[in-house]
Amino acid sequence: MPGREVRADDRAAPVSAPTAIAHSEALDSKIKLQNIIVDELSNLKKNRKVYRQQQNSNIFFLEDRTDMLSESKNKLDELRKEYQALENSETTKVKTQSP
Amino acid sequence: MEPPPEPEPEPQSLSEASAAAPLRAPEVARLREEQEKVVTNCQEKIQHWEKVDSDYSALQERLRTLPDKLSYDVMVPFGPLAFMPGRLVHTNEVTVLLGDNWFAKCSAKQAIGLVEHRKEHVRKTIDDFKKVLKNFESRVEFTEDLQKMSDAAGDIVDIREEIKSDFEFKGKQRIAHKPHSKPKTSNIFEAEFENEVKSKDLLADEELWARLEELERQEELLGELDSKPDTGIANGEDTVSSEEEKEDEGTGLNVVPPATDSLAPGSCGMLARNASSHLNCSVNGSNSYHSNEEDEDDDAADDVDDDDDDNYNGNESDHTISADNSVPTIYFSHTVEPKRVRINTGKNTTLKFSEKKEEAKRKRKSSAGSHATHELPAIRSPADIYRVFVDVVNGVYVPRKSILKSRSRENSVCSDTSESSADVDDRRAVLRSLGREEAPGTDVDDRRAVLRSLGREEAPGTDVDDRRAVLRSLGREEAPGTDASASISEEPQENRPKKLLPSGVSEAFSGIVIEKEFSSPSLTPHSAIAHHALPTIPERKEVLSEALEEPAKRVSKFKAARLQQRN
Repeated sequence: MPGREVRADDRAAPVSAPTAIAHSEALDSKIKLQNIIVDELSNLKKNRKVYRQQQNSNIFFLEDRTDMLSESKNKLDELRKEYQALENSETTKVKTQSP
Repeated sequence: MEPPPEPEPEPQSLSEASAAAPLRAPEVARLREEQEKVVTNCQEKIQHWEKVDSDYSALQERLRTLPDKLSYDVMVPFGPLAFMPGRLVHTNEVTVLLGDNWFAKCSAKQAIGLVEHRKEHVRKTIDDFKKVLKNFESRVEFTEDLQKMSDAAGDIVDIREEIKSDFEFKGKQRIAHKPHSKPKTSNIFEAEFENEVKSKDLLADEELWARLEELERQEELLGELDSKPDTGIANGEDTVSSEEEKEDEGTGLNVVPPATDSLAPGSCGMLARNASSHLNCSVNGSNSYHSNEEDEDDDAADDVDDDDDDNYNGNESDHTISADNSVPTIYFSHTVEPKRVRINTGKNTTLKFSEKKEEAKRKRKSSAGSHATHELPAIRSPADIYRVFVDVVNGVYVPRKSILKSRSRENSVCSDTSESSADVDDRRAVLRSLGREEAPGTDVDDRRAVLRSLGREEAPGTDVDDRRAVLRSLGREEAPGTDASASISEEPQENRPKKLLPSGVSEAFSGIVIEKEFSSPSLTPHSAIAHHALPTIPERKEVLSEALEEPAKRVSKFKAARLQQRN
């Protein structure tokens, strides 16, 4: 097989999180997804092609693997930070409420 | 005193209460469910549209960078499941679907513009949905509160107004007040009974209510003797006569206790009827008060909560049963007020004109020289004006449609057909009023000005209010400094009510027809005239003065004008 192609979906699904809990859950699942993406991308051989799917359509554009990997990693980090921030705010809320 | 018939009506009252209880839990729960459905629906839609928005944004991004390369390596889909490596060429040529299978070939930039336009539409839709969501979220909150309240049988009171089909506002016949009939004093007792009435307050209230009931009963009896239409009017201020006879709504009266048990059911019915326009009290847990049929009164009376201190049944039995899932309800009935014509005085100031005529007639009729105060009809409310301006047509009292128009009608109580022009009468009226007054010297200028302006007498409509306000202020404040040029349209009229003002003040421009600001001392002499059935009960006076002070707050426009005058 000349080039294994990995298609990366753009994780741009909007999250409607009316509550903080739902928001954190959604973030959680996103983080898991991103983790998988990053793992897969890092696990690719050098000659593989990576395609990105155009949102809402079936067309895939060829992208650079390294770029994709770095992009995915960044995204993962961002998500993690967000999650942390959310967790912190929740814990502070709980702390202020409990006493 | 009749022993309260509790045990028997209890089962009836329960069913009655449950039938009548407006805030039953299952219905409130259902309302809440429906509202929540709307909320979730809105959320879903918003979610969908936000996805669409993000898709468009991604597309825009792609289109922006598309012309950067001559061709792209892509995986071309054919069929839903298969792909084929291919190349995307002619990167600047985009075919855009315009809808209805119409396409437009355009450049990438133009496509970006189109996408932007569509995004605008999407954003608008999202905003609308968000608004709806917000609205319904607040409604859900409210329903939740309502549910809690009704469960707890808390302090809130449900106010319902049932509209009778034949109680239409359109084409409703105006009822002529009996000329110089007494103003409705019962309306004054719309005291501000809060939801949480303390028991000791209630005791005082109870006495008051007991008194009120008795007197209203008397009044009604008296009214019934006079004439049918009068009854309705005499009863409660805003009642429509024929309707009110068998009025369906009653208001929950907080009152009383065993003392009221002695009242006959008939009187209770009447009381409820009379009190229909009162938004009295709130009864904790008491609810629907129907004065529908009198037997219902008993039942309704029994609906009130037994447990709470604040519960007193206006009608009969002292204890009452709390209806489950019901909330204290006040049945409010909207009554037809006679159409209040704005006194847009011009030349046809029949108002004062008629009053003058009326007085003159009365004077002529009564040989004895009447006291100045007796001549003046005690006008304390706009309704009183209509009391004064009643025409007698063929012996029947007919309300005048407009108190502004001078009519040459025979048999008119108010208008004097012998006089031709209103102007002449006005002037004469003014002169008369002037002559009658004990005018301090400071007001002489005003009076002269008045005469002058009468002579000019053009009253563009727009100025009327100002002038009126001015006149009022003049009357009120003994302010000679105010505009002498103020027209006198209402001046003679104002004379009369002015005399009601604090006795120490005597002025050229007495009081005001419309406003209700009266100080209590002035009430006493006129209460004798005005209220035939409710004369000198000390409690009433207090309530009267309290209640009469209230309308003053409403009249901010005139106050403002007056304040302006002062400044």
